[in-house]
Amino acid sequence: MFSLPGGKRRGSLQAAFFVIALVLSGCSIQHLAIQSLTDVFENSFEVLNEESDLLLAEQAIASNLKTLEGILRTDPENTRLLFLLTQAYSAYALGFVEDTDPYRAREMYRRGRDYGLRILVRNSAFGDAINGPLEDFERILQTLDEEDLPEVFWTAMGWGGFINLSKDDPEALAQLPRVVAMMRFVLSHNEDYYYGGAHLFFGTWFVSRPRVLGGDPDSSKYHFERCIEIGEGRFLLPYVYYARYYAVQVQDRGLFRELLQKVMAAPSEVMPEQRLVNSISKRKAEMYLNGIDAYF
Amino acid sequence: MTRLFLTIFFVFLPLEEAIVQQYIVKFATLAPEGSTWLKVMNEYDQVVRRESEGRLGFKIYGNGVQGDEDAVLRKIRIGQLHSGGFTGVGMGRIAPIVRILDSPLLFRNYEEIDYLHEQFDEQFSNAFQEKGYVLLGWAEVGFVYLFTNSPVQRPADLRGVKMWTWEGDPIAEAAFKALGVIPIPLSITDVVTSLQTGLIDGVYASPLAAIGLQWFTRVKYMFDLPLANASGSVLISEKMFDSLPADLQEILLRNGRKYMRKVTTLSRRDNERALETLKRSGIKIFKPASPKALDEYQRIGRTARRLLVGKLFTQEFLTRVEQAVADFHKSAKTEE
Repeated sequence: MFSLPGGKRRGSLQAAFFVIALVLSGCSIQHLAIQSLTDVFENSFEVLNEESDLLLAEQAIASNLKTLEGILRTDPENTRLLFLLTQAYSAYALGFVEDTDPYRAREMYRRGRDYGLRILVRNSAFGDAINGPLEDFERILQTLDEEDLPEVFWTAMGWGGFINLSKDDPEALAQLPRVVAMMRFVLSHNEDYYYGGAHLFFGTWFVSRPRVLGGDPDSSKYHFERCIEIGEGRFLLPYVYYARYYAVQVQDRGLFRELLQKVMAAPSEVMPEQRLVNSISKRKAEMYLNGIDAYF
Repeated sequence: MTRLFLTIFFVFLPLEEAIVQQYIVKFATLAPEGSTWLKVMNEYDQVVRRESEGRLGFKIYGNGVQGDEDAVLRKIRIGQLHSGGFTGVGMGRIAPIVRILDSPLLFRNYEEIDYLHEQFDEQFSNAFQEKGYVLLGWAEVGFVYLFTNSPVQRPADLRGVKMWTWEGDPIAEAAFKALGVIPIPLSITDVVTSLQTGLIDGVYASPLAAIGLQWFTRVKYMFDLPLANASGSVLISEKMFDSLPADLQEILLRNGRKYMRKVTTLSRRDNERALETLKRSGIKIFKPASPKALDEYQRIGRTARRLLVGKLFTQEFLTRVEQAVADFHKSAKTEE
């Protein structure tokens, strides 16, 4: 019923739905169906976050992504769907693609960002400022409130990931100050959001340049440690990034090893609601440890 | 059969490993991971490994993890590193004469730069060699422009600009002195904040650097006249180079020229792209107000270069270089 080919049949189906919708006085069946499907997907991602089997999770997320996009085609302005896609594309890129295929990961991050922006640009002031001067963009961010924070954070995650993998592209690099501004917004409104995710961003950002070109390893260290603190030491991703970015930048081989070994040794049940990210962290930790000689 | 295969495999494996990585050149640069610069450097490494059948390769430290250029030079001296990617700052510490390439308002276009390299590379190579370094290739950073918060079209417009200068940069010092500007020396770290607070309202950078360092978000205008060309190169210590067999030296040199030329070509492309991005982001680009203003700048350039005589190079050398550029400029004009 949902896989009708050709525009004509679909058109008549939509017309039928329209009639029914009128009969039900504004309450569209399609809308109801999508709403309950969205509920299902939200639960599904919650379950996925608890999954420790990486292969199972990888395949499930990939297929969920395409199904979500399918439903979105029917209801293109559905905020919850757009938000799920924003999160899922970034998570998929970070967890499963980035380390093996950066070109593909870059595209996944870009898609995540674009879905997030579709929500954010509904605020027309934000939409106008997105390509305008940075000061205007920063000013508009000030007018947003905590309700907008999840969209701002996950869009910035996708955007930041995209730029990080586009360092040979001046056009992409020029967008970084906007991501920084969005993450500052998150930090100032709720630094705890997603286990201190904004701190994770700044930890990485402050060592993305050498000191002589404006990098600041001390600030990087502060943000990573704050992120670990917020996750009560149970959310393992900041340890991995702390090692990979900070320890490498200051060439502290001992710290690199210590942080990653801590991740490897952490019990898999340390945070049941985030088994997936922690399993991904462990896999990354193992990979970096094995490749230690490439960094020092 | 499987057994035979495994036996052969394991017998040959240690041999293979014995050949691999006989010579490792430890190399450091400020260029970040994923940048065009480092990508080409990785290609260079791959080709060297392939052609030497694994006997020679680089160990690449990017993003300044080994410290700034002075730190890298120090580490090369004590043998902790062997090679580095340098800008004028580092090259000038070794062979000051090379800084003629970065001198104020010497070049108008890429062709002039390439021509000067053709004419003087032997001399530059010798200058490095005298100090114990071998030139593997030139890797240009790009033309440096002025970025300001008030339009600058003629030298007089610069008078009121609170101009930044990089601490300890003799080239910029000479250029601003000749322009009659008293600049404010600051580290690169402090530039963005100082632009925001208004401590400074003018900086100089290549278009790509203006984006990479995020300075472009705090300035309104760019003056479309190259203030200088920022040169760059990859050098290796003579000690390391001399320890290599002749065939490996040849592989290193030949590919060094080739791949660093590629860095230069791509760096020019990236800077062109960066310029387009800057325009799109709303930065207004001004050209010199008139031919008269352009002449005035050329005169100032001459004065500025003379301020560097005795510090970096001799008057005799400067005259020869200026003459070569002038001759090339004239012949290029006649061809048109």
